[in-house]
Amino acid sequence: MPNAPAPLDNMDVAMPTPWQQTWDMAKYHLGLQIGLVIVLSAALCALFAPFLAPADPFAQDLGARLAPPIWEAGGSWEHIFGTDGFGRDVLSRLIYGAQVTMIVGFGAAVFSGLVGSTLGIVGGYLGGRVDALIIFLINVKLAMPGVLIALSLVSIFGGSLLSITIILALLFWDRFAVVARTATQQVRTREFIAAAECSGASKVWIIFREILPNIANQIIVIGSLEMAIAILIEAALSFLGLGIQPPTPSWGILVSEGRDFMFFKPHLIVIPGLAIFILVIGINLLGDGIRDVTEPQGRN
Amino acid sequence: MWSYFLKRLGIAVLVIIAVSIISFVLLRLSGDLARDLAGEDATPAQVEQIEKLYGLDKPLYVQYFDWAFKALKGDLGRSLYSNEPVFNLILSRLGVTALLAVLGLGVAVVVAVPLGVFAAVYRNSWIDRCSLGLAVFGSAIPNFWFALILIYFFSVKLRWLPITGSESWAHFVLPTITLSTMVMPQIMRLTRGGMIEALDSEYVKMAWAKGLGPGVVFFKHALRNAVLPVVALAAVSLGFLLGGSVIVEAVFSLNGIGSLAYESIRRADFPIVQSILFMLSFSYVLLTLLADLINARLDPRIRLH
Amino acid sequence: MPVNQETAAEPILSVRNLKVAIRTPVGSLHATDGISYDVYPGETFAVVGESGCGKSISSLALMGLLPRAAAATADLCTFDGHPMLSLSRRELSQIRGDKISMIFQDPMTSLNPVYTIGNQLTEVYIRHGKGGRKEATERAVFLLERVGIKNAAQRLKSYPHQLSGGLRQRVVIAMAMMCEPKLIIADEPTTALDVTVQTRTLALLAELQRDFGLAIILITHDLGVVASMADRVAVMYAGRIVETAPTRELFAAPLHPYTQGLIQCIPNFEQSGEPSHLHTIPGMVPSLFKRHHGCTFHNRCAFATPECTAAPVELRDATETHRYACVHTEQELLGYWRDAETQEVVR
Repeated sequence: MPNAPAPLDNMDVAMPTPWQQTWDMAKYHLGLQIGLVIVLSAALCALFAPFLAPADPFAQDLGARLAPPIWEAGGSWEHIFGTDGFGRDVLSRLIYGAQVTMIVGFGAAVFSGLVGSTLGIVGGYLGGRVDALIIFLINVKLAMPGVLIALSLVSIFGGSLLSITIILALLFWDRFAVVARTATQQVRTREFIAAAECSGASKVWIIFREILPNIANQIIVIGSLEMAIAILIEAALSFLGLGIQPPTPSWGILVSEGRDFMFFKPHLIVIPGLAIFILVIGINLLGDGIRDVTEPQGRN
Repeated sequence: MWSYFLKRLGIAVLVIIAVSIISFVLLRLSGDLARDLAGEDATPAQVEQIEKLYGLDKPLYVQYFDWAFKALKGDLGRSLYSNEPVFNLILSRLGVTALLAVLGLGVAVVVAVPLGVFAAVYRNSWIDRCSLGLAVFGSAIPNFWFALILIYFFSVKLRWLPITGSESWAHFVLPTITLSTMVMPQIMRLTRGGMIEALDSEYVKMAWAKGLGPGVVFFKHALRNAVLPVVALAAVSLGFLLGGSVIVEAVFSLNGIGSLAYESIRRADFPIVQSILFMLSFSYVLLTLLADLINARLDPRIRLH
Repeated sequence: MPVNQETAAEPILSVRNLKVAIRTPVGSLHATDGISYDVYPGETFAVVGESGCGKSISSLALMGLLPRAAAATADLCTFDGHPMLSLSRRELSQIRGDKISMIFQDPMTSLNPVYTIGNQLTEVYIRHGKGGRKEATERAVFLLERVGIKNAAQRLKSYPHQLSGGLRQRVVIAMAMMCEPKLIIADEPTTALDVTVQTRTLALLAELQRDFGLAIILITHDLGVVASMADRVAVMYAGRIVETAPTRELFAAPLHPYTQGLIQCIPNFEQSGEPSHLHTIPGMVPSLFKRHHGCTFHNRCAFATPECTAAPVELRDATETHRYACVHTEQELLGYWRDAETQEVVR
């Protein structure tokens, strides 16, 4: 009888675990890292605004109105980004504005994510009439012009931080629902779900233990993108005067306040606008990065 | 194919009805409309009079049906402030918004589709990176800020274009650019994605194996497949631009539906707001139906089911 | 139809030492590691192996259809006098579809869903300058009828999704024949089809080969397909050819241990009507990222000896037509084979 086959030598390759693969890819993903840095910086500004801001964002100093920023003639270290039409320090208002931006953006994304994903998972998993109803709701939502609805609601319910967050949340739940639903449908047809159902697991248990972990990364990616859009729309609403109300500094308000002086003090609109732009890019990079490193197909 | 289409039509009608109900209810939520109209120091009797005048004393569903029947006949009520028929007001301002939306979409498609094709064909080259960069830029930039920056450079510094108003064609350049950046990134990404998928497909591999030339492979075989979802996206984007023009109209002082809606919201002029919401939803649903129709025409798998 | 090599003409395709390397983020993947073979006019040459052994890649290299990240080199790669690896893209595209055609595994995805089959049939004819639209249509109708599709003229106007899987594969075969190729490369042509349809498709290919004098390279993992249609076979493992022989001889006297293992893996029933136990080849295919010194199969081979890794193992001749890549002699290997066979019977 011939010999037994030779034992495994280094001719064979061992497969790394999914977590290891994710970490490996994350190490080299520049976009993910840049995005993370940007988002964390904004979060830090939001959390520690009172410690980071050099001045009181509400303190007016009419004697020092429209002071130039540090890189123009006449600028000083006291007001690095200059002052606005009421003599308030721009940098401080910018840092405090991060609070509004992050709270509204994150809050809207989380609220709409919870509502939308729930609807999507329920529809995708149960199918049939429930699913048809949910699709119908999504179609109705899609047909409605979001910005105008938001404007109308703000005029009715006022522009407090909470109301703006909830109103914006109403604008985005459909995207979560669509993604969650499609993802759930894809996972649903896989055998391990059938196996769980056969073994008598309750629907709720299946949803939490089997479906959710498999679609969570897609939801997080969409969540980050929606957060970016929420920030843009909040800024637009504030710019139009139907969002956060002054004197609370929101970056959108800073742009709209700076607009009157745009032609000879452009930095008043450039700086807050740039802040929004950079933060949104950062969030997009982060979201794309998360998708790239967690996507199972992207590993070959 | 016709049964498919009729089904979509049926759903579309239901959606429109649902939207009209929602927008109707939404605006009545604002509290006591009659009191607001009557003024702060009106007597209860005066308030009651106003209620009767505007039919606000009837139950909500009756008010809705009143409105719905009138709307079907084209009577959208009158402005609470100027007393002009809402229908006329909307009509007079519709042209500007519609023109801008079509122009904005047109520019976006003309730029984004070829860019997407090149990005896919020359994947990972500098063209690809540039177009993806452009897409990131377009989707991250706040549209009102972009508009202001454009004004600053082109109107103030360079003095090439006027700042606000809508008299000449020159007035439409900057608003069109702003609007097109709002939808360009998605169109570019979808075209690129579709082309990449098509280029990786077996039928394209077969086309190469048959010895067909690059032009034929890219444009006859790949693009024809890649472009199908882009048509639907274009229709949806048009609907989006119609509704999302409020900011652009505000910045450029254009007299379109968006600015009408904005003014009316500020003044709580509900008949106008409600009608605009309804009209925009209606056109959105119409546009998606149109996209479905075009898609069915273009894709033999749907057409000859 | 078997070709007697002594009276045969020159091979229509000659490949010597073909190496295909694919650049990946984690290193260079050696898809094929120096393979050599000949294909003669009018014969069916099968390339057998499991997924990932490199059988498809070598044909793609020949056609210039490798993915961007892949590069092919060879000492010789000549088809009908053309040095395939050094031709320009334009020259290659003139040969593809004209002198060499390919058939892929899944006919649903090989046909473009948005164009009629008539369109896809005629475009290759017209592109290679064989004639205008009218001639192209006539030839398309002729070929569709020849592959057994009724109402050919009307079928030209149908779309791929309107035909069944078997019919689609016939359309693909007809499409491959439009310009009278000398060689057809069929990459797993029956894998995506139902079993009953498989037999008919293979029979069709054999007919066409006989009538039109084509050479066929048949790439498959299915030994049954090989047995029913091939004249000669090459067995591939981990990017290398480990044995080539005329079909009958391969099945009657397989020499390389991998071939023996493959044949033993074919499930069969005992004379008593009970199923014999299912044979498996233990171990895993080695990583293609490393260049292996010596035999690539040794870690799974029941006959491995230290000699196996000592030096590169080349193909050696057992007979004029039967070559194998192993350090052991034919007598040893044939002895093991006969032992294994008798043990099967005893058990």
